[in-house]
Amino acid sequence: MNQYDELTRRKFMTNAAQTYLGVSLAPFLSTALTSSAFGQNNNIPGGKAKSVIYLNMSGGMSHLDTFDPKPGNKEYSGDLKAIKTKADGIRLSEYLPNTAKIADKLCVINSMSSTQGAHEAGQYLLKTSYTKRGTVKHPTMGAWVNKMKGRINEDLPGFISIGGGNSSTTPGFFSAKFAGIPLGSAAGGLENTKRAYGVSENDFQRRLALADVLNQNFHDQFTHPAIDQYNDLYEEAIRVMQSEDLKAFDINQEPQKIKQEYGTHNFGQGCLLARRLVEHGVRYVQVTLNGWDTHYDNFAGTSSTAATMDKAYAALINDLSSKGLLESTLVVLSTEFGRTPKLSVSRKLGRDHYPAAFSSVLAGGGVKAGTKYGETNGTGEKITKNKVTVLDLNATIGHALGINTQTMVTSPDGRPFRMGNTGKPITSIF
Amino acid sequence: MLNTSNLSIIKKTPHSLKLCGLIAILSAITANAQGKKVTIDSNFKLKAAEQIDSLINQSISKKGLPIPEATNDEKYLRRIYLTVAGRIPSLEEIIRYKKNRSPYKREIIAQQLINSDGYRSSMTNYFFDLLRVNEKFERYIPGAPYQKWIRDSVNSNKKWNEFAHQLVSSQGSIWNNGAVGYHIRDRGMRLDGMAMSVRLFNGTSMECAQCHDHPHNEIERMDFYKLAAFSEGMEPTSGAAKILGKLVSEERNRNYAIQTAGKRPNKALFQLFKRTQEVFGYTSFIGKAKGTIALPKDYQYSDGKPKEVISGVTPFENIVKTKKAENNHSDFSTWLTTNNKRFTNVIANRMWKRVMGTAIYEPVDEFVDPKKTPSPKLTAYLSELMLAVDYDLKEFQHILLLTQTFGAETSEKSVRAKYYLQNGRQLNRMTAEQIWDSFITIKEGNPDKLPKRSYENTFELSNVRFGPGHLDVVKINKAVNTIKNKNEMRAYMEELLTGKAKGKRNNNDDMMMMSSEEKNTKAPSTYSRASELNSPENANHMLRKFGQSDRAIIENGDSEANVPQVLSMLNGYVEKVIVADRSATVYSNINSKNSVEQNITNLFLSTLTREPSDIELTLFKGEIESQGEKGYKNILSALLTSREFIFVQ
Repeated sequence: MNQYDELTRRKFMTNAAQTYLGVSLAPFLSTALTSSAFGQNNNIPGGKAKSVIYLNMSGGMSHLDTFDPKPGNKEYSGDLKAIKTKADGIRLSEYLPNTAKIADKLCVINSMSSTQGAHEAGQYLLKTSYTKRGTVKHPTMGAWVNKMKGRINEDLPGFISIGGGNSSTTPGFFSAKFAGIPLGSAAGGLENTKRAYGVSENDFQRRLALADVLNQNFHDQFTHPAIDQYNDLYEEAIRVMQSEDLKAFDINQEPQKIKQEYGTHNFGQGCLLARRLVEHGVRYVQVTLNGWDTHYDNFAGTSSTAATMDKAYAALINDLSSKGLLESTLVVLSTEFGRTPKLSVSRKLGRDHYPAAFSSVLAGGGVKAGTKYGETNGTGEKITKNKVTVLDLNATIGHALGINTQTMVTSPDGRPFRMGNTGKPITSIF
Repeated sequence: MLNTSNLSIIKKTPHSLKLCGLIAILSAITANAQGKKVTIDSNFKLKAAEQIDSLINQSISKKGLPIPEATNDEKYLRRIYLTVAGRIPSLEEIIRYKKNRSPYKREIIAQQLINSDGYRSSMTNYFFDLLRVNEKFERYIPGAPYQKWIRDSVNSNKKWNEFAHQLVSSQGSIWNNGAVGYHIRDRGMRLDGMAMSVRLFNGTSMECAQCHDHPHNEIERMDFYKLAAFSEGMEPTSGAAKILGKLVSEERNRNYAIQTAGKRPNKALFQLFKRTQEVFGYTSFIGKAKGTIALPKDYQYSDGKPKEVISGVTPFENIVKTKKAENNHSDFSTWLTTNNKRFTNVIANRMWKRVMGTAIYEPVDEFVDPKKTPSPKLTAYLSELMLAVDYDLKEFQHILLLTQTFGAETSEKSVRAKYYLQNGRQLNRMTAEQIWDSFITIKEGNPDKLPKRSYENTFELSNVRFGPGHLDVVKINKAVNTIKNKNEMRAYMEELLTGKAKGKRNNNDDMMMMSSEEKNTKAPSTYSRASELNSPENANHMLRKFGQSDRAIIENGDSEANVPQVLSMLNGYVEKVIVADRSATVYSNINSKNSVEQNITNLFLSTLTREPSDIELTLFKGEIESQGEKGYKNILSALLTSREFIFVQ
């Protein structure tokens, strides 16, 4: 990983000020440069994962048609078949041929359960471990992870969300430095990191130097944490602009072959971007895939969305593995709820929301590979073994990172919260 | 009640000397405070302002601290523009102020601004954040009538007790009463909504007690349910929603049958069922608040049993009990907003924060007994004053603006909120709306002359048009919500779709003005005040980057720094839309007829509301000497990206 060269950047600022204005670098800038204390470290032993890639299957991924197939019963699965995989105990739906080839790297959890049956409420619980309240905004998982673990690469933001909108990046009651940066499209990358058209490097440096004169004057008059925070973030923004790691956001630097392996869909390209970001030291990346909400004609919708997911997911796991990043990266694939196992004949074999049982998958980050955890009954309607709640899953993510998920964090209004809420990590899968 | 004896013992201060000259300047109103008429004239306002200063100064002196000096005119002007009009002053406004030789120039500008469009705009932003105002509640459920109701209430300076009572006690359809949006807003979270009302208007948090006794205050789980009993039975839905829901389901299945048979179904009726369910079915708050509620099945304390039906009683302030067959919903609202010390104290503290930058106690939605605040006498006095002005928020803020405390020098050190104002005013980052409206001022000049939000004449549901010359939304809403069975509803919807709905048209345009015209709204597309744009703006907008509330929770706007903000200042919006645009208003005062010094001074005034220091002028002149014309762009960029620009001193 490219570590930011503090000396070069300081020299840049100093030079700008000296060359163009004959003044020396404002003294307060130097203090901001050494800051690395983003978040507290509450490491507990055993956490192998450093980063998380969270693949959010938004809309409610049908478990019967993906990771928990129940073939043979037409009322439940139509003609959909199950296929063998590279892992002995795991069978997947025929919609996931590429995933079948990497199943030896996965830990499939078939006993997920949620208390929320509506999309927004389900997604909120999935992302924050809490139910929605009007009086508090809960931090999302990416913010939690950065709060508890800090950043890996100080030159890059700690939390990026691709394709999930603004709500998936909220720092909740944590401060803005834990907020994710939302990216609409993987191809677009991070906005405004280049000097604007018509602004030369010389102009840019002169502007910073002039602003430094004003800031020096302001700093001499006032001491305030919010001013320091801005000073820090101007430092960071300029660092990001200059960072060689900015290329982490540019998927065009990937060979065409790799880009194709992931699939041309925004989700596939998002997974590729996620790999690049993690490779460059971003702590938490979330990539969202919509299209699972198949109330009508389930098989038409699911087969197409599953194909997008299957291609990208398998490419991501393979890519991380071949680059030696899988051990240090926990890849989570989850959804807010499953879909009704029994097909609705009147709605062209549609499936409705089903929070009582569904599947999530973990890979990498020290999780036992090629394994299954939990079970549903023959119709996929009931959990028969090792129920895992959404809160448990989130606590498990924390555990993989070595976070003590029992640590209480107090909101500014004095209320106590925990990453994973009351969830218990599934320690046996590590 | 206002203690008038306090007012009479105020010693002569410079303020008192100004009284005679100011009487002609300040407006007078007569308030009916708690049944006793008080004339809110200039004499009253200035004396009240003096009383506040006196109490603050007593409190500061007690701690052995020096009384802060008055801030200079430039800082004062910037501060009062941002506080009252929600933006920085333009160059012309600064010059006009500087030229004014009146000894009352501060009082005059306060009077002008509190009566300006800018004040109304910034109060609109404040209430949109406080009341979580969206363009739409969910999917297609329109938020426009609620938004419009709040906007009108701000514009008419509705008294806060009436404002609050009308919101909380509202019922019926949003198409008849926009205030009903207050309840539609929390559809599906009724208990949470009740807790929010208590927190918002009485500064008391009850939400923890929904599941267990509150860990930090006196509220127990039983208290929560006893209070919830007041509105139990009221729901933000109507019978029409159920009937239309069934029709949606029926029609969906019918369409699939047609599709399966290889034909293409006409989905217009299906769409109309769906949309009317949202627009007319989920836009009412109705029911019978019978005054009892069943405890939850996991009730864990010895004072009640799970599922036990209990009646309601209020937990603090005046004790009110629910009654059978009475309007308990309205009683709850009356208790919350009338003769309630917390209600008065909380809004006084909120308005204090708006004007002074730092509240007397924070968070502002957690009531603190006046005796436990840093200055008990001041806290008590502000409540008295709020009652004296009879909850007229404009008059209350006007009085605060007339204090010397408002004009005090900025504290050079950051101090905690509990030491408010003791070292002078606290530094605050501008709100997102202040930043945006200031950008707009720099770019376009006086933003109050820019386009305001318009109200579309018509709107459409599945090709069925509502509005002047089309269908009357209020009448259709009434008709839809009168129908009691499915077949009748289907027939009625078919009539709407085919245009055969008789007697529902009204070609009298004046009538339409009263109904649909004002209720579907459209924000201007580009440069306008934040209060005229979408509420909230989309996630990539500058307003959101700088912390505009996403309206998810009460007062959710924030002033946190983040990287996308900084990047958009350096390379994005600020650069592309303001700095690079030589036709922006700010550059109109930069020309070759002026000296370089004058041009630089104009840029400083237009952005930081101050002249450059000698050293700044020398350094910045160097930039023009070395870079020529384009140096002005570099200077403007530096001024806008400076820390000084985004902070209110």
